[in-house]
Amino acid sequence: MNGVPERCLPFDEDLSALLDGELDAGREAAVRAHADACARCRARLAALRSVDAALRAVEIPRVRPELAVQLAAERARLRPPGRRAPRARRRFALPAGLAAAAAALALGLLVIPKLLGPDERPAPAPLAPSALAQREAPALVAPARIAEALRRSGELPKLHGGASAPGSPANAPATGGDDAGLAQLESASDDDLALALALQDAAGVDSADDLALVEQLDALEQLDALDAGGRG
Amino acid sequence: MLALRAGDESAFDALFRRWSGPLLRYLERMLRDAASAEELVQEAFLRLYRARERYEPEARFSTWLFTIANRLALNELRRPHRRSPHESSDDDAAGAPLALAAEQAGVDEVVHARRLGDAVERALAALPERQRAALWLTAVEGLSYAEVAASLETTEKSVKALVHRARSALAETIDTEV
Repeated sequence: MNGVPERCLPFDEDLSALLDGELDAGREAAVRAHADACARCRARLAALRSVDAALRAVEIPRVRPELAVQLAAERARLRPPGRRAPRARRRFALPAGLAAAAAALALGLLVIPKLLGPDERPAPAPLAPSALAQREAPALVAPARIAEALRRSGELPKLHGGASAPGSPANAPATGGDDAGLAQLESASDDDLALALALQDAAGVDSADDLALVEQLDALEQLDALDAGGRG
Repeated sequence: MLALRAGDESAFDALFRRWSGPLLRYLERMLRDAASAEELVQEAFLRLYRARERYEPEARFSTWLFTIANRLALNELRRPHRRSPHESSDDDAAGAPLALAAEQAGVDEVVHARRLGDAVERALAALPERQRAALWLTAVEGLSYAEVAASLETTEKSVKALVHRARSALAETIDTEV
């Protein structure tokens, strides 16, 4: 290596290995002994150490939250049909056909029609649940829209349970009972159910249970009400 | 990762929270392009997710993740139409200078730290990619030479030489510029 005195050559590369803890005990002792006796290698060791300090001082960047949301949507798409995140608890049972339809919708039709204004809404796909469950999932549509929905869900004072948002409809469905929740799930449109599932997955709602799903449906209704109020 | 392999989806979120930042920091240094680095972070985690059922804890998780990222980064760097990092290095340096933790008291120290950081960042960008990868993975991420060798598909001896050449080049830059 250029500029390395001949007496230091046998040790030069091992100065780095010394810093990296890659030398065996005997070799480490020999390199340390040389560095102790050699001003040039002592200075070089300090210089190499300063490089590491400078590199380690590079801050870890903040990862945009949208990246996690997009990944959650991609993971939902990758999951085999009918296989959702493990359920920690289950309060309501979705009818099997409806669950399959909703899973297919969540995988394939991740659109946010409810939160986009009426002009941007795609036409509803009036397919029977059995047909939806069998259809091949199309490419994921705009995970950024899910991010927007999640962002907008922050407009609500409380997404999961509890009091309704101010200005929310007085007849917002209650989530307090199994029967009411089951009825709400059964009566929800396919679009609403798909969106609620997508939001649940994208937000990484831990429980991923049906109560949480009902709450997502409630939140969507509240956002609709806010939109309607804003337009009115 | 074992929890994810067993089907615990929340384990993925925990892994992402822990490792996405360090991975983005590494890929930004490798690619010199923040947008591409972010794309590869996403792709690396997707590959990890797809391979979750095949994961065997023979290596540390970080080694596994950075190996995936390395392959993606080296492929990206070899793409024929990729914008040369040097075309934009001046802009990048001006727009995203090395963000040193400038907590030291005193303006002089902060200015010195910033100058040192900028110099190291430029010198790092100028290194051959395998030297850059080997040094970063060793000095910052704490991988052993054996782990880096596996990640870069080379030998430990080669890694030792790569790391030393890279570290020496940066040391000389610091000595010259600061």
